[in-house]
Amino acid sequence: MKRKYYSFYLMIFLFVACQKQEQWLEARTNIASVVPSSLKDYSAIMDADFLVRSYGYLAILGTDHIYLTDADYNAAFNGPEKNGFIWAKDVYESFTSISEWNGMYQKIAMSNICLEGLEKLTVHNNELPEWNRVKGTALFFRAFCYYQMLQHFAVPYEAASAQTDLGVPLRLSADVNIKLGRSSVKDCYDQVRSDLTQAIALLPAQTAVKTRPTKAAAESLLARVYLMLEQWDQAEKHAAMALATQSTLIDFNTLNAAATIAFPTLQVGHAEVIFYAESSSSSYYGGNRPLFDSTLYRSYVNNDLRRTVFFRLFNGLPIFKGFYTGLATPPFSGIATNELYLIRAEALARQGLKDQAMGVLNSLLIKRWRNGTYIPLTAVDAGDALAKIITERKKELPLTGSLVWEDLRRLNKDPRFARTLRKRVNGVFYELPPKDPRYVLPIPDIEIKLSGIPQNIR
Amino acid sequence: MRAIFRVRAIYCLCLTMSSVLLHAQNYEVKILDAETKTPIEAAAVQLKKNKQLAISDASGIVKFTRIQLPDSIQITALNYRTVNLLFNPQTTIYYLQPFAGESEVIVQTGYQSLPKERATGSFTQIDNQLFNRRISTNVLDRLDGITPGVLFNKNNGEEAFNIRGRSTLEAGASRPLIVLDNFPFEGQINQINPNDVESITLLKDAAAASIWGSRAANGVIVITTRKGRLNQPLQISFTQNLSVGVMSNLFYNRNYLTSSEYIEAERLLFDRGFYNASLSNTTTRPAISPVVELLNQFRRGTITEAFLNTELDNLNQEDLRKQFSQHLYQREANQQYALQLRGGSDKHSYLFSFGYDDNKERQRFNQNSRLTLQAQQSFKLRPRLELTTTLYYVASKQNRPNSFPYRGNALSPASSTQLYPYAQIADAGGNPLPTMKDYRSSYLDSVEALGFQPWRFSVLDEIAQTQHEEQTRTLIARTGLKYRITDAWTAELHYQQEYQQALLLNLKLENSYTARDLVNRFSQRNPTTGAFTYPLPKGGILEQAQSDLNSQNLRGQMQYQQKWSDAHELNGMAGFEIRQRKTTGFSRTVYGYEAAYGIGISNLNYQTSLPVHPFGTAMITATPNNRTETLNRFFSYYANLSYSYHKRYTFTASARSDAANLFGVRANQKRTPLWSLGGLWDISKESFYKLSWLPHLKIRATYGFNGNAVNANSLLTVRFGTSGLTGFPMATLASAPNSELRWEKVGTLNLGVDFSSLSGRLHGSIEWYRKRGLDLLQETVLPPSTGFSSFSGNGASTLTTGWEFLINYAVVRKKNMEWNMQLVLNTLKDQVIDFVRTNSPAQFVRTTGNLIAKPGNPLFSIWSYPWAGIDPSNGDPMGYLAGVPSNNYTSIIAAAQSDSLVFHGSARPTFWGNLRQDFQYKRWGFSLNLIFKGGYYFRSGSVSLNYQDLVLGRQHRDYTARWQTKGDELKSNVPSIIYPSNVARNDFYTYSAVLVERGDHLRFQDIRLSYRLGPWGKKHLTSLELYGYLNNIGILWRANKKGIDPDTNDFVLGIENIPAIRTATFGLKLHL
Repeated sequence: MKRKYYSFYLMIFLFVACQKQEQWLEARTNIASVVPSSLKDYSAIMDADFLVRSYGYLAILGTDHIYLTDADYNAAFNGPEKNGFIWAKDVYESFTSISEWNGMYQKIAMSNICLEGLEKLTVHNNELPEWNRVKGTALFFRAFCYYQMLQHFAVPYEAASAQTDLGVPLRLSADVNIKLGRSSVKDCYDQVRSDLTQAIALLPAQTAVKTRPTKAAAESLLARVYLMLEQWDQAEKHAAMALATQSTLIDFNTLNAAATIAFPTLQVGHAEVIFYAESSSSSYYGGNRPLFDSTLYRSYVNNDLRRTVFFRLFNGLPIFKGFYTGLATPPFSGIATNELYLIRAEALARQGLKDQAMGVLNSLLIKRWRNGTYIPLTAVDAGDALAKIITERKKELPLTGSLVWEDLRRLNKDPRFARTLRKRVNGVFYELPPKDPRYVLPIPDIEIKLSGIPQNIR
Repeated sequence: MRAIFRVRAIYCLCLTMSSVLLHAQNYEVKILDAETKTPIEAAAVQLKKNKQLAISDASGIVKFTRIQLPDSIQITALNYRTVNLLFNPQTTIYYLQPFAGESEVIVQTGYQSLPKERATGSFTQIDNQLFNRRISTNVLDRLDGITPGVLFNKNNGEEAFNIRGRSTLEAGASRPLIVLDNFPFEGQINQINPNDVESITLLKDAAAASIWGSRAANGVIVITTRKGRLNQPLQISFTQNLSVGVMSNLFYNRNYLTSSEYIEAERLLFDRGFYNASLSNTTTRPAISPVVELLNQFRRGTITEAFLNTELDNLNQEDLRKQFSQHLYQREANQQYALQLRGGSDKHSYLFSFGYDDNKERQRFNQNSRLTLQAQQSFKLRPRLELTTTLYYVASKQNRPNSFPYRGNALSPASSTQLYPYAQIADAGGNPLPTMKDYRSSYLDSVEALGFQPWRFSVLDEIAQTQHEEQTRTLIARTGLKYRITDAWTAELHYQQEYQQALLLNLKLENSYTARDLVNRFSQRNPTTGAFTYPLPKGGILEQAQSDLNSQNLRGQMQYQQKWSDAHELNGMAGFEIRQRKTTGFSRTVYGYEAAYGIGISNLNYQTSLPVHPFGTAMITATPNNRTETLNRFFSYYANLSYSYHKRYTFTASARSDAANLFGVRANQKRTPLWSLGGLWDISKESFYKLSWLPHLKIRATYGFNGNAVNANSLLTVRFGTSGLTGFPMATLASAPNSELRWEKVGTLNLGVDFSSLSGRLHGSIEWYRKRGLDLLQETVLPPSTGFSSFSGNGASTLTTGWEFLINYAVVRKKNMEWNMQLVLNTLKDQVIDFVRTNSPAQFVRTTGNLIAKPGNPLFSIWSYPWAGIDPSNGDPMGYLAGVPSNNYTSIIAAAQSDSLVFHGSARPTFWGNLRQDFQYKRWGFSLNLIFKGGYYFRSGSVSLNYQDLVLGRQHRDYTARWQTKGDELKSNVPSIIYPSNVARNDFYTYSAVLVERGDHLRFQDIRLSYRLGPWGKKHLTSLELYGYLNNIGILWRANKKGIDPDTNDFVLGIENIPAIRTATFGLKLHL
């Protein structure tokens, strides 16, 4: 008799326990780790430092703006840096985590997760501006990453062959089980353009920090894209749109050129920066390396303040110190107003508007020269204007992300600007002629192995 | 059974008659367990007429003096049948029959006490005597080398020890579960005082471990503490011991270059321009070693060659190992005190214990101490109602200002390098000397002249300026109610709260290098006035961290126990358990700390990038503001059933269902059912059984499943943090989603045989097991274009089989002399069965024996590149490319296939065990233990083939044997060393077959010698045992010819790399 009561109580207890249990077991195991589900979560993903960091270094090491002594070259370990510097056929050796590929796709995945998550949210009216900003941000980063990848892993854009040239796999969904091949260069650029067009409509004019993209940042990137696509009118239009919001140039006369680093950091605020991003750090940066191309250095005349703001001398050899990050390293990989002036000037010159082009160029350069010494440049024709703009572009944007590498790739198509890069390391001469297949990086082996996409031939 | 007892008694009687008769007035009797022949401690022996009562000591001995005959003797002991006999002075050994029929040992599963007779599963009992054989501060150390099925991995850092190998691929999930009395112990294991431990039970198979469900797949260690007993007079025992270690032998470590060899390497690199970048560096001003400075001065012509040579000759004399031994190391010395009081009346029993450990560690200036206090009480509130309460308090403290172990890089010029071997850390008088740290000395000279804080680093000063204390406090409060509803039914309710708090204080005083360096880096000097401002204020740097662990357990269960006639016996239990474990933690840093007043400065500018010396800008590292919190919740139901027929056949079954909050999916998907079935057949009870020389023979079998609660996520999760760039909250992706995630399961089949010979001289057990790891989590590689490198999914499986032999043999068994031998032999063969990902040959060759899964292979294995010798023309190591000797290392590595590599075998022992001998002669006890491990391989370290590695982190004695001229290839297998570096060439050599050694060895682990005094005193309860113990005596035989202790492999460039220190212990154990 007694026994029955006990089992009865036990059963009641178990029943109650079952009811409560589900709820009790839903608790999170780690307070800091959550399944993203709110606008705040997605905004936090878009605020991750990683999104504005680790934009590869191979394109910077591949240019001929920098060089290393044999001792310095040898003192570094083998691997992508050494190989990238001499345009070796095998770049990565056994390295598997490549910023230029893996890192970009990680950023793209973060954007895709946000874009998918945002669509599932119910948004109140008062949250709409923030929802728009986060969505615009995700679209911007996706476009920025695909743009970077096209400059590393695809041949330069040629309208005639863009439909068949191999681009990169266009991953637009967060589902890791989807298998993709390589899309054409044209499709990739179309995606970048469409993401940016959407982003422009969504992004605000001002953001709290420069690591969050603004409307102007998206416009600037679109201008850069059209420069690659050689659609000069569009490039000019979007550069002008961006400049309409932010056109500030720092007057280099106001900077302390003697300081170890003349530019302010992100936290202090660099007036020319529209969107802030950093390259990966290479062990070749730091101390008194790498050395800067002394011919190019000598082309800065004495009244050109960039000579002292951008460079310091070590044993009479120039070393670049003018990163827009305001740091000794890593280099700046974002977008700043100086680049927009140059895009706009070039786009105007390409359309034959030489005087307008020179006007834009002069408004940039006057801020770079010692007060009262600048004599505005003029051009005899559009070709002359273009040549002058290209020269100034080289002098204004050294070691800025992969811009120099991108310029080499696109300008090599034009016999007027094409040139062969040469380096000498440990007594061996290396050459990179225009349109060489080594202007396109190989895709990491693991990707080829697992997804079966075609490799780039170097 | 009885028959044997009598035979045994007569046998003893004959042996001892003569000696006993001579001392008719003094008697000594020994109380032994009738089954196991082991001594029974704390048996109460009463001579009724003489009114003398005595309690047996740890060796079961009781003494009486001056007694009048005739008398009758009564012997009572817990869990044994009381003996009432006419006292016969000729009988010196009394055997007590255990309760519950003839069952021998009680197995503690943590849920119940189970007579071993009914146990179908695989349990290993370590009794009090064996447990206390080894002296240590830590509980687990005492299990090493005596426990069947347990392997301590001294050489592979992934987990300290395994029970029956590893059946998960997840490194974090491979630890056995530790249970203290009734509940899992969540804190640090070193918080438990071994002197409080009564016995240890290991649960190794499904029958036992499905009781513990989802955390039991790696085995369970149940620690049972001592308890007070009802109707027992007060017993006081006191233990004290002192262990002293020999000096750490830093000279054993082969990862070393002498000063002259190191200087030789520096000189070569200097000539080749390796240091040019550093020497010409005017920005970050990296540290330059004294020799390179001298070489540079000579090159620039500021010193003469004669001066250079004198200086180098002086430096050649230095030996960093001597410096370390003298100034940074000391002899270990551990003191241990333990006091215990226990006893009980008919309604109340108690135990109070106190323990104190004070240890001087081998690194000089470091020490730790531990205080344990325990109060256990049990009350019979009503005849059927029992209440038990336990309070356990531990306070431990570690004071470790010396964070500079030999070959650690905390004092090196740059991280991942080593301090140059000619460094002098103190002069002949012991006064601290500076060594190179972060910046070049010429730079420091120049800025110190400007008025910067002194900026030199000296390791001894740094230790003096450091306070590094860690305090851990543990409080366990436990209470239990047990109500016997009827004779058959019992209800129990238990609750435990475990609370552990760890506090860390790391104070670098104002004059410490750490503090001065930071202050200097941020200091700003006005070039015109020379005045300094300090954005990072002068003063000390105080780091404080706190972490709390709080675990709560509630368990309710009903037990049923019934016997019908003598034939049927049914036991069962069912219950539920709720557990929650919560950890929280935070840390903070205070700058400008003034230790004298306890004040720090908080209004610092953390936002602005400030110019720093020697170069660049930086922000002051903001003190972390985050608080971490983890929460684990478990909810389980379980049931256990056992049925015996005539004690001849026993059938057991258990089932358990666990749920946890581990996988963010719906609760009903989290539930995982686990079960086991078992059977036991006592063949010797069958009428047909006729083997008179083997009167006991039992066969056991169990099969069932345990779980492994791995911490993985089924949904995409992000981890929150704070952006270093903007200070905003940011989230990073933590894991790729997998909605199909399940718990890991391990199916175990265990077969066992228990036997005992006629006289009990030979007894033991043999077990065979087969563990199948199923649904194991594996990291599946994803194409990088998915944005993830891998994701966790179930699908891998492993198979582990092994034998365990435990054989006890009494070689001599006489009154005054006993000689017992115990042999433990384990074999283990593990294999990966299913594994989706194909690891590339390069991946499994480039390990030190880590887990790189490959179907058909052991979990941990050693592979290598085939070795084709050394090229006599240039000293290059040679491998094979398409079967032909080659020095194209990149291609050898790229083209490697599993069939072109050498597969050596398992990286973990495939057989191991120990042979222990215990001698007893009169009052003397002597015991020694040999440990062997075999059937495995390890990679031996060697010198790097790149000169620049030599001055970074990879020095090695093999340098002396390197190829230098033609003909050297005949003398040694060490290739030439080169510059500039060729990473592939060095990789090939490092992982080539020539550097793989057999791990087999035989080790003389320890000796214990003891002498017993007493009993004496009024009630003859007082006894004293004195003992000495020598541990880590040395290796008797090893298969490798390089003199390497395979347990202290130098391949992994860890710190120290010195073998376990030999220690000597002296102690006493007093019973009152």
